[in-house]
Amino acid sequence: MSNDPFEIEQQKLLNEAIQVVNEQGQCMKIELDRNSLRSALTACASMISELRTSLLTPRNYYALYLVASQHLNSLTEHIEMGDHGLSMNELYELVQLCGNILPRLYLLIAVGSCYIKSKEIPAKDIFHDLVEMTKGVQHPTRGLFLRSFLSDSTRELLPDRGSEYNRGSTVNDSIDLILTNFTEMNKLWVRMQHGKSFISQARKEAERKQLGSLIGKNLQRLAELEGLTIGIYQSDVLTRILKQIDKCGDVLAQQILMETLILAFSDEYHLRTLPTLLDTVLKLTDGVNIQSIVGLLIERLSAYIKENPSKSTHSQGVEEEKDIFLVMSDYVVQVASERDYVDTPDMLRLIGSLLNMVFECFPGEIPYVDIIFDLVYVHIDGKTRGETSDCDEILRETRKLLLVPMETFQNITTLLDLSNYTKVIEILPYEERKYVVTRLAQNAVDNDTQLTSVEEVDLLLSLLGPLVRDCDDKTGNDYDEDFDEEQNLVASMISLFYNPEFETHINILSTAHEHFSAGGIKRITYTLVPLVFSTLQLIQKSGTQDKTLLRKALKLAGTAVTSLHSAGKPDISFRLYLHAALAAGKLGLPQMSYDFLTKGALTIYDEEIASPKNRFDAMILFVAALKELDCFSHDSYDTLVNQTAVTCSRLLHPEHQARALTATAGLFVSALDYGENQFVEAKLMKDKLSKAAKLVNAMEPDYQELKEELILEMLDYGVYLVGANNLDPTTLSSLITVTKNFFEEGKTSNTSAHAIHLKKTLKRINQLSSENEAYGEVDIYQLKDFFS
Amino acid sequence: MAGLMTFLGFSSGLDVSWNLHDSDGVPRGSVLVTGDKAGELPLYIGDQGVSGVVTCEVKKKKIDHVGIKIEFRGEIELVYDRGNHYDFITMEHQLETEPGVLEGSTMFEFSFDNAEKPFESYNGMNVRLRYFLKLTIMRKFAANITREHELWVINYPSQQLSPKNPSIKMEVGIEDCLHIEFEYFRSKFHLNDVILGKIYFLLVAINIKYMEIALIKKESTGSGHNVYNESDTLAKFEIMDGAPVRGEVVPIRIFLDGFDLTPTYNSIHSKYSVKYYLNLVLVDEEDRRYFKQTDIQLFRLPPENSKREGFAQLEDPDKQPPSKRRKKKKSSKSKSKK
Repeated sequence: MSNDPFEIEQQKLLNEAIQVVNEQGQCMKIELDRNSLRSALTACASMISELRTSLLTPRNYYALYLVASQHLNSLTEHIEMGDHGLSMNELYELVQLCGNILPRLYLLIAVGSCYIKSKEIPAKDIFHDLVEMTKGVQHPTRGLFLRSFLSDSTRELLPDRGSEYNRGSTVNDSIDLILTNFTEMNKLWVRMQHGKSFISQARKEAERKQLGSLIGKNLQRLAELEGLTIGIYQSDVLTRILKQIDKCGDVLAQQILMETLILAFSDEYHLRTLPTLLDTVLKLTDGVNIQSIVGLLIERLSAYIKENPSKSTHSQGVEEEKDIFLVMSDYVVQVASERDYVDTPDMLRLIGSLLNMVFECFPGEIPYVDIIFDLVYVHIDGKTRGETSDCDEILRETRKLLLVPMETFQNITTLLDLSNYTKVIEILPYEERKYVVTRLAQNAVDNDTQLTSVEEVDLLLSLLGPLVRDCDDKTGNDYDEDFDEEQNLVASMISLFYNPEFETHINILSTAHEHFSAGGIKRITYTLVPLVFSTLQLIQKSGTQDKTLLRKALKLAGTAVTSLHSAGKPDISFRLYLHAALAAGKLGLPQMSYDFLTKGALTIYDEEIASPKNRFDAMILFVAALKELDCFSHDSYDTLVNQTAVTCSRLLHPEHQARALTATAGLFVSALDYGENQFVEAKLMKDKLSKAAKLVNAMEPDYQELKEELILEMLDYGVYLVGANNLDPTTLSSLITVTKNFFEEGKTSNTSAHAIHLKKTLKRINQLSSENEAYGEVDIYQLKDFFS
Repeated sequence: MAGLMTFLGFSSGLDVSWNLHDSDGVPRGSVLVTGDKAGELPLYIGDQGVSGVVTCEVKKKKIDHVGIKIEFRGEIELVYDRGNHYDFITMEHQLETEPGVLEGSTMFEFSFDNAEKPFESYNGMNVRLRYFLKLTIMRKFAANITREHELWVINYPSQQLSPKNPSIKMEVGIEDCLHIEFEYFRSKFHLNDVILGKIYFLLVAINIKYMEIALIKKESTGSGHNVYNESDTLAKFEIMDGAPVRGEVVPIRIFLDGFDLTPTYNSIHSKYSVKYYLNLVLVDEEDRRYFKQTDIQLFRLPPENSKREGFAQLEDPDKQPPSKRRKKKKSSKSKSKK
């Protein structure tokens, strides 16, 4: 319950009035029970006199009206029973003696409806009389409700096809009654906004709006008439309705009534009378939101066409259907050009209905979608960057429109074909564009939409501007919390680029690279890495023998890595170079592989990898990569291995040096295949191990633990090398010697973890000796004492 | 009452009862009359003969008389002239010419075959027109005993009324404020008639609250310097609620059945007239009243001629509102502030 003093007062007035109505209604019932009709009529008249009030707001008046009309029902029921001793005609005159017009007319309508029901008189005579007499009430609220009562009282009595009240009357009389009543009610309704009032204008309009359904009810009644054929509707009824709507010139009334009209009558009728309807809408008063009216119409028509495909596919068939779209889209253009006041957001909503129509009714007609976005473009061009106050709303509506086809098609390649669609995206302001293209990208990823041509990818990545590169119009900081997510999204798009043709696929990736490399340091970290991997993967899977193409692909990968490198990402570039080198090596392109290693990886190593730990890690990776490669000529390999060894020996920490050299020692393995230099290589291998051992040896005694660990690693590796690379068993023996010395020097307990490790290693050598005699030559017994 | 009268000596111990009948012996119908002499009275139409039997019943002792007569009289009584009766008709029959004695119950037959009744009975505000029978028992040494018996007379117009029944059509208004044209489709009505009409609103610049038609009866009595006018609003009939806008047409339909009416009387015996007016009253939101009075004529029709067929339909609903050819007539409408 409101605390508004006005509301409280209203409630009080209403309660009082309702109380009187109920009292008088009760009196009336008592009189009716005594079958004293005249007294009952008197009581009834004083009951209805309560409706003469001007103090209630329309809403409260309505509440009062409902109570009173219920009592009136019991009066009509009694009269219909007919044992009151008066003829209907006498009764009809009797009630007209009442001096006050409002009770008189309510009674007249009540009795009139009974008169019709008695079938003593043609319905049309009474209709005509009632419609005419009710003109006496010119007060808007009272008149409106009186006529509403007329409309309700005659509802069941309308002559119509199959009605029992057809004697001397036809459905045309019903139409006349309803239409006249409609017209008069509308006039009163429109008038309601004028005149003095005790409530604010805004509130008055709000209350008036609620009464719209009373007037609209007449249109529904018309639509319910079975005898109202399309012929009558088209030639007579619609014209009269529209004339009244047009003539009243009231914004609220026109709005509500047009909408009611569209909802009330069948869509088939609308389809048949479309030009008339559209013409009228165009002529509505300024301020009427005709966009929403047309929108509603489009929705209804779409639903109709969708539900009745058969009706529109036979005879003129599909052609006619398409016409509807073209008719409506032309009309929308016309609306925009002919109406002085066009609210862009509303226009966009209207276009939205058109768009839905396409999806509902013409799902195959992609070009229609493009037509629609041309409309969108025309309407928002020049309005998207805060030029108008409703810019935010415009953007909101535009966004909705853009998302619809995305959701519907689930395939962004279709959208990329629509030049107007992309045009619209391009004129959006930065943030908005970013949002839309993010959704676009997300859509592609979610639906796994493959992008199979260079053009598509090019277009898409241009469109994805705000994600892919720094745009001129960018606002705020791109590198915010969402940046990571956005870039990952872009990165995941790379997996969508696909074409079974190797060359095309490469071209696609190449195009993508062009776009990505313009993205700035922060972005390429996200985008180029997957691009390189994607490229390398493609190369590996392709199985092609075309060296030129492969070279091209590798070059692409190389360029990408170079971009990354120049963007200051040495570590990742280094690794990618190694990957590229491996790929090249496997494809039998030693030169490229070599270049990747030396010009790429090693250069980065020399120039940009600074921290000792990173340098060590890099070298370990490098060695591992090198070990995989077997494509090089002896000389190249030799150079590489030697350089690696040199580089390793230059690592800062002895620990690193030792480990790296140990690893490097393994590189000489493959060199053994090179025949004549076998000895040399074996020697080198031994050298490296010895050198590593020396390095370990030379380390500060403080690092005893570490030294033991390193030497044990070396020893294990040595064990492996003997078997795998024919390392001279004597080298292993000397390693064991070194180890022994270490343990003795360090006074390591023969039960420590390292000692146990050593013991296991020796045991392993012993085991292996049964398989490979080389192990037999290893002197494992020198440590006998240590473990004794 | 009778006891009191006896006690006071006014009573003569005589009961008189009247039994009126038509010339063919059928008892008279009666009519319920309201007003000063309210009650059920025998009804006479036009110059019907007045005849019947008067019975005198002497209660206590016998009454000596020198003759008994009965009169049929029509007279007009005026309020301002109380005591003076203007007899416009007097007819007399002797029932007993010789002196004699009344004893027990005695019946006298009488008959005024050509009882002339030029006017209708009327119970007005300042005037009364009455017909009565008067029995007089003349006595020698005592005051005559008289008894009166009222009759009610109505007349149907003897000659055919002029078939002309022109409509009343009038345009009234106040410049730049209100222009209306109203039309009563006829100007003469029988007493059970329906007044039909329409009101066209041509210009409405005031806030009208409601409109009503008052049915007014004006009675004027006397003549020359001594004219007394009395008017009585018989009924107010609301015909419109709320403010119309330009172009609206509001219907008028008033059933006269419900009101206590007489025909229009013009200078009855040069003593009085009764006229009827329709007063169209518009009341605005400030309770200012705008009105226009129009006189109408009422006449009496025999019931068989005043029956309506079906219900009173409004005439020609599509009738065009008054043409645009309007002269700027200076308003004849009075405006009065309440």
